[in-house]
Amino acid sequence: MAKNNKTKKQRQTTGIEPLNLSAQLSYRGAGNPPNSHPSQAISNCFPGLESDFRNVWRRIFVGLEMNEADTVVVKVEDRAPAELQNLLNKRLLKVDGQPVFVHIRGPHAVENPGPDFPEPQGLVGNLPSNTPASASISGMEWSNALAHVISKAGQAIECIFQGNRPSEEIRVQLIIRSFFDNEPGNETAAGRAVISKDLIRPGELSQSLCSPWQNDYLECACYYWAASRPDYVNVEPGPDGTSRGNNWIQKDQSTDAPRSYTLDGSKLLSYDDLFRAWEKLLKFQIGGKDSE
Amino acid sequence: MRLRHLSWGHPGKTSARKGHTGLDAAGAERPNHVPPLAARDEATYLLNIGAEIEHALMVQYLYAAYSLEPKRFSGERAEIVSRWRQTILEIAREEMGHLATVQNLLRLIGEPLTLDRSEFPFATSLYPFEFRLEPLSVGSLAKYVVAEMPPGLNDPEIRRIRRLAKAGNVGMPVNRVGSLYAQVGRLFEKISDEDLGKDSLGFQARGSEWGLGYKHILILNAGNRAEARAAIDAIAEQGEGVLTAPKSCNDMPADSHFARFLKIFREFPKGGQWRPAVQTPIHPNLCEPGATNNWSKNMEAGRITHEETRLWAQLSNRRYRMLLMFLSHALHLETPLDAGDKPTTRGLLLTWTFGEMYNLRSLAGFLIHMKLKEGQRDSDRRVAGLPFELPFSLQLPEREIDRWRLNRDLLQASMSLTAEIAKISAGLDGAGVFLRSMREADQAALAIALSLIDQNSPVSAVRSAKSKVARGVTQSRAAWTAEALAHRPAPNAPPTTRAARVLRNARYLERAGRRASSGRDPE
Amino acid sequence: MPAKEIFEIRLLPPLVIGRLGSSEQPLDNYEAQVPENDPLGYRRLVGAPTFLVSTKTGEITSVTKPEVIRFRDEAKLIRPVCPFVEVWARFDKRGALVPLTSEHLRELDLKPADIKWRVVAANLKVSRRTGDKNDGVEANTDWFSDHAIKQLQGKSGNFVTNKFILFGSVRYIRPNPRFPQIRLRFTPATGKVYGPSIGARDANVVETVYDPEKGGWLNFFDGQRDTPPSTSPSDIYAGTDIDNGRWHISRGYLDDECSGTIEVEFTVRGHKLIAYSHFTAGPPTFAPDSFPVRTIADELEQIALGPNVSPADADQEKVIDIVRRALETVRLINTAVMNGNQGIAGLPVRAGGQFANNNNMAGQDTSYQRAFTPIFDPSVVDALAIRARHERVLMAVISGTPAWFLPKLRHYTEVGDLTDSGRRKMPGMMRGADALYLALTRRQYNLVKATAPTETDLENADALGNTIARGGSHGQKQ
Repeated sequence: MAKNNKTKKQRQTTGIEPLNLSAQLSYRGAGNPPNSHPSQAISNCFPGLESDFRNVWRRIFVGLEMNEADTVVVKVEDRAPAELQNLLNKRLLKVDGQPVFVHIRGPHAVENPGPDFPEPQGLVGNLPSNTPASASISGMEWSNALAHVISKAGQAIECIFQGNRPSEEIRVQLIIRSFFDNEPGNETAAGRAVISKDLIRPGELSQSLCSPWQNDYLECACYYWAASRPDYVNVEPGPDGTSRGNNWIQKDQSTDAPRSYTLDGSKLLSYDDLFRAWEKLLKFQIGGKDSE
Repeated sequence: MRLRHLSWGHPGKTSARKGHTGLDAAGAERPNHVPPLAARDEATYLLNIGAEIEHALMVQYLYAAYSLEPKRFSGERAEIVSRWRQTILEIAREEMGHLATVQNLLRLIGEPLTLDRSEFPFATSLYPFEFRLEPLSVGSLAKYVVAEMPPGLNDPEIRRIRRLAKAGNVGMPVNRVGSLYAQVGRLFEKISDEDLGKDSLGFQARGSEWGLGYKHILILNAGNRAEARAAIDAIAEQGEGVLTAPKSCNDMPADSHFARFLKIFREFPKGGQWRPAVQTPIHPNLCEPGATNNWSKNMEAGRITHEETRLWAQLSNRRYRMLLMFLSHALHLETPLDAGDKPTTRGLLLTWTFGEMYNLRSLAGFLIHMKLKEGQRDSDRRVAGLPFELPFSLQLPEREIDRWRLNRDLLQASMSLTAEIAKISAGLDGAGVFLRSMREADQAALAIALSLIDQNSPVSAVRSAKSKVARGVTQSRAAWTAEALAHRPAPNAPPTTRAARVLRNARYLERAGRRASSGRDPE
Repeated sequence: MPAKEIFEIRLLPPLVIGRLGSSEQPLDNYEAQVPENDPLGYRRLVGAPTFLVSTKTGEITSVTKPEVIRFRDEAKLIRPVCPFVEVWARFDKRGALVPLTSEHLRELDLKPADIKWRVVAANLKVSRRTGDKNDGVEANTDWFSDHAIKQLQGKSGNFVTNKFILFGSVRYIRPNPRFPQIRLRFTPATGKVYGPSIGARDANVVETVYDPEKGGWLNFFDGQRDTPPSTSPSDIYAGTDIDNGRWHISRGYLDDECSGTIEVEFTVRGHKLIAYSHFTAGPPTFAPDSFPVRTIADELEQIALGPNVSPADADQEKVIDIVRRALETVRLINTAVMNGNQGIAGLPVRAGGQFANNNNMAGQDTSYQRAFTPIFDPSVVDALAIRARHERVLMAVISGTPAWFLPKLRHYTEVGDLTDSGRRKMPGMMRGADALYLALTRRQYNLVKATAPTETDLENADALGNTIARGGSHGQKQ
């Protein structure tokens, strides 16, 4: 999305049309490098790096605050209508006719089941009766789950929550907030591309991230973001034709370190290393190779 | 393929029966080698034939699919042409799956792979028509319907289609490949257990290696007799034939090749109201005139003489060769079956194989926009097509390092041809970026090949010292590591090994559940 | 035509990202360009117009195009990303937005000093977990109109008196005749770690700011009674494991990242104009020539334009962009490790009865009682092979091939499909925001779909990819 914007000269002859959301969102700002733009900020937020974008959805329903990472109501505003008041801690199931959860399914046979795993019993979707119901379904991420209702800002949408008993359903009409700062009917605000203050207040975009952020760098082997946190660097073909290279966070970073990727914790940077000296120890990768 | 000793007879009879047009229930007529071979050897013979047939069908169907270019149309026609193209491409991929499964069966009985086939055009006693590369038409569709038809169907529609396919004229039974596989299945019962190599599984092609989510491509493995039978039955059933004769067209499963071709046939315009397919040549070729025995008017008509087009066609032949050689090389490398076995370059070579499939598809797209003949006028709408010509040899070198030398040679030759084409074809829409990215991919592949040759040849010890310099690391970090290594862990430092925290987040759900139920704090 | 009034103002870009670094020199501007001769290669970082701001006066003194992009300065300190935020204005109801300049202000009888700014930045990482509002760390510049550097001093009710965390600074850039635009610059912090004031010296923290007598962050643990629901994932703060990993005890650390809001306000002829935008600060992009396959920009595009794509909007360039980003992502991943291949990278096949290499999605799946198996066939996941695969797909889409691989993309409803075929969809081996397998945004999926060949009847079958698997214990098993 980040186009190569030219520098804006003194008197702008071409501008941005006020209703053109794409142009505003893709605009990078004069003098701003590409990595200051959301097009280089990851969004598979678990929890995320530059931000935990999941937080923007918490107050998407007027009167409620949802968990950023689960489809559960964590707070009901005091001035919310009565029918919303008993939604606290309830799980949202459907929005405007579409489910906001997925079923988990897959082969169940567990290798070496320990005391924590139930005995193998067929498909994951058919778990034994004493398994918590939450294990076989999971809340969908908000972004994709709600994509079809964002355009209905200001309107009431039918939402279905799970009641106190598994078979019980609670149906309510919830109003979708305007995502951007443009309340329906306000002509001046039409076309603004800034996330509404009602959805994001200072600190909220980053509140569920790791503390400190360095903590994320070692844990997150599988859920990461190669542009910001590379894994496999200096990769080249080995004598058997398969790759060899280095682990980005290995301790031995000398030029003649063997091209051997290791997961042996004793050979990798530790949390303490990162807390103290991340700026010195972590190398930029240009072209997949150690640079500065 | 050598069919001179192939005979079709009833069990117990050894003489061939020529001109046999009627059919008993499939299986009553059996192919066999005259004189009979030992069971394993005869199975090899028939599987070789099967492999050639699958390969030829695949190429023929690809050529037909590539003659369909949806973007020439709009609206409903574009959609229907796109659907036909997709369907035929799927069928071609399924033939590829059969080809791979046949290779697996050969492996199981310890026999070499075969990716060879007869040059187009050719006829066989297994099919009622000549194999040839031609654009999709009513006639060719009729042929494919008839080719994929099980024996015994005889309703009026089918008779009409057979007439269109001119199947009756050739005087051969409809489709005998089902019988071929059935006979292979029978032969497997006679092959001893010791001759069935379970350890061949590491060499066999695996569906999971192919990837890309094709749901109906059957690449089946066989480690024993029962699995072999199941594999044979599966590929026979998918398209070439069924084991019991159906009563009518509509009895055939909708996902069979027959049914899918029949559907396209029914939809295809019969009266020439519009022309769905680009008129690619019949038998496009780069042959020198008179060089082959089956030179014909069609061969001359299909000969690509336009200078620029020739280069592109040569490139496509080259990529076809690379496809076959990479695939062959991959299947000669054992793949790890147990957790903990080291991977080989098999994965890489398979990736390169798929890359060549994409390349051929792209090249087909270019060739149908290029002039066929040198000096051709603009008003002459003749275009070229993929010749799918086989290289002089498909033999794979014995030693691994020599195979990599071959890969190197193939890549280098292709790169120089690509460079030549880039100069001439600067103006062709999309050609530039395609050729550049092909060159880039080849360069990266060549680097791997050279590196492998380098590191495995006797002088590699000397060379590896030089390669360190070439790594491109710009700064020494020795100064920093001293500080990083010198620190001592703080008291109560969290464990540094991965193993200790390995299931942390994996169990958060579970832990959250436990906490919720116990409400207990730690001591 | 001189400006007569301002109908509306906005701050653009509406969301900017600062990146930590302790150098005094902000990172230069550059473009990450796909090389023409190398369409499958790494983007080249090419200098772009970069403003030099005088520390003394706060004005832009020059604009240059650097020859070489350096991410560190001479002292090897990382150069932070300090983005500018600009005021744009609409001078009439039907006009376009254009950057506001001091010349416009003059025409409206205003001066730069009539523009008021306020920046509120906060780090709520602790209060999010403890639920204690006083654990929130907030910096508020209050309204200002001058061009001095305004530090963002993050204060908290539970800090030691007079202590704060420096979140960086903001500056209202002084417009001048050469660079008259009205803009503000955010400079993020340096990436330091702060901690609790306890007796022993902790080499990890640069300063002790948190008072454990006032607040409960030190020794806090996710799951503690009467605290908000844990984050997901949980236990992602610096801490120590006890009770066999069951509880993770916080060491009371904080960092100097923040996110916040910039507000601007001024009055034109009695008409008050306000606008705001957001910013956040994160770590540097350590592979700046690689772009992630799914980004916040993709999210915002989906929000702005909706998840559906009409055939008229089919755009091969968008598909090329997605595939290129997939290549750029996978290029830096050790795919054999991420796949769950065993006996590699210095780990044995098994440790303690479990497969040893399981800190990956395959391992995470066991928390749903799914059997541990590598995701893809282990023989094809070496990094070179996977990279080559993506390069070839990119090649094909660059040369105009319709996106035949659509069935291979994970639909957003399929993120819980942990069968073999489900896990092998794309993006592979990566986690999504719901802890399950990453799916592209619906809009990204539909962009690919818009260029894909027409579906045949077969492809409409079973979206969960059940095959007609027959025969062979090593055949296609679901």
